[in-house]
Amino acid sequence: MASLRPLGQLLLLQWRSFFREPGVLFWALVFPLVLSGLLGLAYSHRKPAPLPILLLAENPGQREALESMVKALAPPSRLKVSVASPEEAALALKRGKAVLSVDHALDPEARRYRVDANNPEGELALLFSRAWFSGKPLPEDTLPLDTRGSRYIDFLLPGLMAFSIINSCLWGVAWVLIDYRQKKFMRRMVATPMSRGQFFMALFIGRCCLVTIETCTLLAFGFIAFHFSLQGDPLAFALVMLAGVIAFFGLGALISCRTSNSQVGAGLINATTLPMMLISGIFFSYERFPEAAQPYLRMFPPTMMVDALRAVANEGAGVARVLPTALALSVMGLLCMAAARRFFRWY
Amino acid sequence: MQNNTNIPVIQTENLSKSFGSVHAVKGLTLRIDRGEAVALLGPNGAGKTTFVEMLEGLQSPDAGEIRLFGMPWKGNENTLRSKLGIALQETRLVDTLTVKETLELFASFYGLGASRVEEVLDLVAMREKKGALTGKLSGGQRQRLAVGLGLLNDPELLLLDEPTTGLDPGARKDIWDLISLLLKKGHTLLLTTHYMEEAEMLCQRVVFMSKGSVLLDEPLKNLRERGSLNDLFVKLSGENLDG
Repeated sequence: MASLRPLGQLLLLQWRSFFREPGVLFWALVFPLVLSGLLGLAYSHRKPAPLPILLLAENPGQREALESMVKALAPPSRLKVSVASPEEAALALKRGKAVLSVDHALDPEARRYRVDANNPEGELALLFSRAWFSGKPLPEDTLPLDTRGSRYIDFLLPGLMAFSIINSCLWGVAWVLIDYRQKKFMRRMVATPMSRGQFFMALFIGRCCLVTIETCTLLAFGFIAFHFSLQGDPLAFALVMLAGVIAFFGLGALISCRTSNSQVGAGLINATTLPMMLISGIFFSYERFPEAAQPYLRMFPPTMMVDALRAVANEGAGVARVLPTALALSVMGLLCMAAARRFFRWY
Repeated sequence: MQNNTNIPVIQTENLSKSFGSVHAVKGLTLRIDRGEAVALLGPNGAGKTTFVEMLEGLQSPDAGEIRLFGMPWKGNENTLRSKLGIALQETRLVDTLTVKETLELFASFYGLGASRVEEVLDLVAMREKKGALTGKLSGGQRQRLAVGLGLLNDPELLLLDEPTTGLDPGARKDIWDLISLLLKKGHTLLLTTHYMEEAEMLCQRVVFMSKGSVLLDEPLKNLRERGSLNDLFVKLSGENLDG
């Protein structure tokens, strides 16, 4: 059996590289906390911002009459009503400063609403505006949805944990391998009797440790700042995390298996991570994509990981429910590793 | 049974290597015996580094045979790697490791412990710098460390590929002193360089290489009688060593 001392030294190499590089520490540990804090706070206001609407005035006389009407009818708190000329309104709509405009607001028969049917806020503003003009405001019978697992922060944190696995494996594995190859450091190491298997084992164990630290930091922050906690089995959560590391470690090794050019490497890593960030439901639900695309999106490995993490965190899922996903991710990772091994260029 | 001391440390026969249409090494045959210090001289592009990388097991020859200590690379990788000490051309180390940590990392690959690291720190005169990050070292100090990594396993054969290229005269002299010390201890050396004075200072035998082939292979003392090494090289190859 090969000595484990080289494995320990290779782990120390990663550990030291990680903790002695302030930039790496910031992006791996501090940035996800800042992002989750900012997004968590941004989406946790009890009262949503009023929807800006514009009443169109063709001339100063109409402007005066409309302003008097606004004062007299007292719009609901969900609407922010202003009077504007058609030119001012066109500009405000273009710039997103208003979501709806009303022509002939003073005449109930001629009144017309201009709204983008694809904008949910515009549709909502239309509903409130009609109720306001009819003199029958919508009833104040809503309650805030703040049960654990249903807030945006509950949606976001598992997504950020998945994102940290993807980033950690692609930048922490692929970038390191390309960097070692470019510096000829890898060539120097393989000119010794170093075990190549131990080299990869150390990279994998190192990633597992760092991902654990990153995830625990996010969990602790979520708990302290937003009372976030896992609803399901922590073992199931750990299983999905491990499968995610296997999957994206393999992908990282595969995309870095040939190149020694850091610019090509950065391009490859960005080209891999960017689509994952956009379409796998990390920051917002992929349910917003066309229905025809959704079955494919659900089978996208990062989406599978995010969905499984959310199922454990927010829906109380256990090992049995996430096991198929964990197996699929692991198989993907092992296939990528096998391909990387076949094509890997050590020097 | 063959006596180990009679087995050449390096033996190559008709070694060839091409990269696309470029013939980097063409039919190179060379024998180096135990305790010899041989300089491989040639301008950039002569094929020196390709030849040395084939000796180091980092490149596979297209044709021909390599035997180190009488063994081919195939099937003897770990044995040969543990007998070789190498300094590659332009190795950059990990900037966030200290000198001592870098030596400890490489020592672990040879199954060596802390005591050998301490010895090498003294050998390459870097004890005072053992806690310094390698990214903060000067070019000369980095090169001394690179040579130190090659000495960890107390190698029987040293393959040094242009160990002083790009160094200032003071740093170059430090490396020469270090190599001289190793030669006194009986190490076998193959040194590639395009500095004549380096070859004259450190080696007893000179091999001229140009366009992938050996032009001349003679003891240094014979060559001295034929004028300067540089003039001789120009006469034989039509090229300048700095070219």
